[in-house]
Amino acid sequence: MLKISDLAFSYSNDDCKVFNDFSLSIEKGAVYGLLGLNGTGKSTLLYLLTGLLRPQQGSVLYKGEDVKLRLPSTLSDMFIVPEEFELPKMSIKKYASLHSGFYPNFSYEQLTRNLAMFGLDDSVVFNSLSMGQQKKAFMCYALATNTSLLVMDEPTNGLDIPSKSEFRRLIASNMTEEKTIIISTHQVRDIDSLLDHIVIIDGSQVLLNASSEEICRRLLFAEQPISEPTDGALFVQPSVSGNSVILPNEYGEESRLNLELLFNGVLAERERFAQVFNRSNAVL
Amino acid sequence: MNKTFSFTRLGAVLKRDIVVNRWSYLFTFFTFFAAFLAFQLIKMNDLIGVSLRYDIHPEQFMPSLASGCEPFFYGILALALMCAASEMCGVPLKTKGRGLNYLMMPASNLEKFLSRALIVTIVLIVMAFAALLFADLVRMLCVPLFEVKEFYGFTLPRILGEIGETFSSLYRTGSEEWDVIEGGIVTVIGNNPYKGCLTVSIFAMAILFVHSLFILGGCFWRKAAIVKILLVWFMAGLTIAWIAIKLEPIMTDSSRIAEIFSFIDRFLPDAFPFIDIESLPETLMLLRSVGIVLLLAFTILNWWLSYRLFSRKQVVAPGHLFTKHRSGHLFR
Repeated sequence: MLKISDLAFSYSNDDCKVFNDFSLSIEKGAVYGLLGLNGTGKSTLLYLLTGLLRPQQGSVLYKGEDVKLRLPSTLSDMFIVPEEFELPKMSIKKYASLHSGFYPNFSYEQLTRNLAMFGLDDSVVFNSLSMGQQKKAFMCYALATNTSLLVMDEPTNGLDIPSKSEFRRLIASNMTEEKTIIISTHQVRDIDSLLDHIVIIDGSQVLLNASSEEICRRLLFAEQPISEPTDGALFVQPSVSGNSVILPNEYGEESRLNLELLFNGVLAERERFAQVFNRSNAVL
Repeated sequence: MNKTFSFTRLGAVLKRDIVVNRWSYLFTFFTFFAAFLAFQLIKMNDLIGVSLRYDIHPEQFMPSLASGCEPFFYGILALALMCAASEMCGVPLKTKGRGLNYLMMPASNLEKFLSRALIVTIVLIVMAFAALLFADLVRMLCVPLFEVKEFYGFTLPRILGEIGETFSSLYRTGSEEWDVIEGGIVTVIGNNPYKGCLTVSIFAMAILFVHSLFILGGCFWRKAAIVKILLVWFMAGLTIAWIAIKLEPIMTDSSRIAEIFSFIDRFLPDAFPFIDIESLPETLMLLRSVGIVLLLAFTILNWWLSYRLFSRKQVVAPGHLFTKHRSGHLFR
């Protein structure tokens, strides 16, 4: 669906490239979590995926079309909810009527339903809402466009605690097999139950690219008392109750994916995790 | 789905552009309105002063409301329109948030560019004329304040008439055939409509060329485009003035002028053997045609470059045009 090949990008003419020889493929019908440290280029990657930035080398193909050309056929099938956005001074209804014509699969009923989940209605003016409320309204609109690709940068930033669970419900209820959602975030606990696929990047390196199912099949996430030995663990992180550990899942045991632990582990023990996933051909 | 152009999408882009940026456009409209109104009131006040002094009814002055300052008035009006055009080029990309919404709008680059081009040409001119009409109406409402019994009449038809008159007089002057008779007296010996058309065309093309330069500047610079464009014009003006100062001793020295003409006399037949000195008026007409074609070519080039820059706009402003790896480079 989305194919990034040999991508190179920098913001200026110096040699400090954000991406160099970066490649990645995104398949349809999954919710992708894009994780990485601050400044590793997550937002830049999202802008490159949607054609908002132009790579110096390489290409980003969406359904076979180069996104940098910004063709109407491509743009009408993708939507981005950036971390910070600016909406015009108008009601959601007016905004929808002005823009919905550009999106062939836009559903007004879906918009109303989505807004209702957050306790909003389409008569409210964007600028009369708080930033968090605006974000909710904009996400409702984004999902109602029914584009095949939806890209979200830090979607849960600025949302209150009940809204975060509403957000998960919203994504789950709008998800179809034809849609792909890419969520870039640091707030991994807000979305870990939503993600079907995890991508961890560090600049030009893809440290992990595997489905949640594959990760849980290969790794075992456990909480251990401090007294229990951690020999053989791929990664150990002290926790309130003792140690949080990631172990190779040799016996096919079931465990809940701990995204925060996985992220820290992959960053700290790159080689070890790469070996685990290379062995199963699930990554890289 | 048509990948490049659809009139329906162009209409939707135009509608969305006007609705979303209505406050920016209203600001431009009221700036024009305020400027026109201030100009008219100041001028009217002057005229009333004159009329009281000489006991003439101010209505008689009405046809010459802008008298004595037409070139200044039209020059400033044209400059203001061009500055507004360059500024309005970048309105949808003024901030990162706005730019993101605009660039992600599902329409082709050509449709977006055409909608901007229509806004910075036709919509802007209509806006300026509407502001002038509105200023006229407000001025008429102010008439009682000046204790004038009758002081009505719209400026816009007069301005349009005067613009027409300017072109018509250019045509008249341009079509005249001149000759130097004995005693160095220059006299009109005939009339050539084709020559007149060429004169009008070259004048019109020069205006369009300057306008296209403002558009190019507006597409090139994301922030403070007006200031940067005017700075470039100022620098160009200074360069021309410097060259003129350097040439001044040569141009005022008659012996050197004779030398230059003698050189041209020798040089022209060698360099351009097809030029027949005897038929110089025709040659000059040909050169005028070449000038029009060149201006047209440069105007088209400027619009094309503007389109290239526009279609390569990114959500984050890239580096300088001439940097080595500038993202969204003009020629990538």
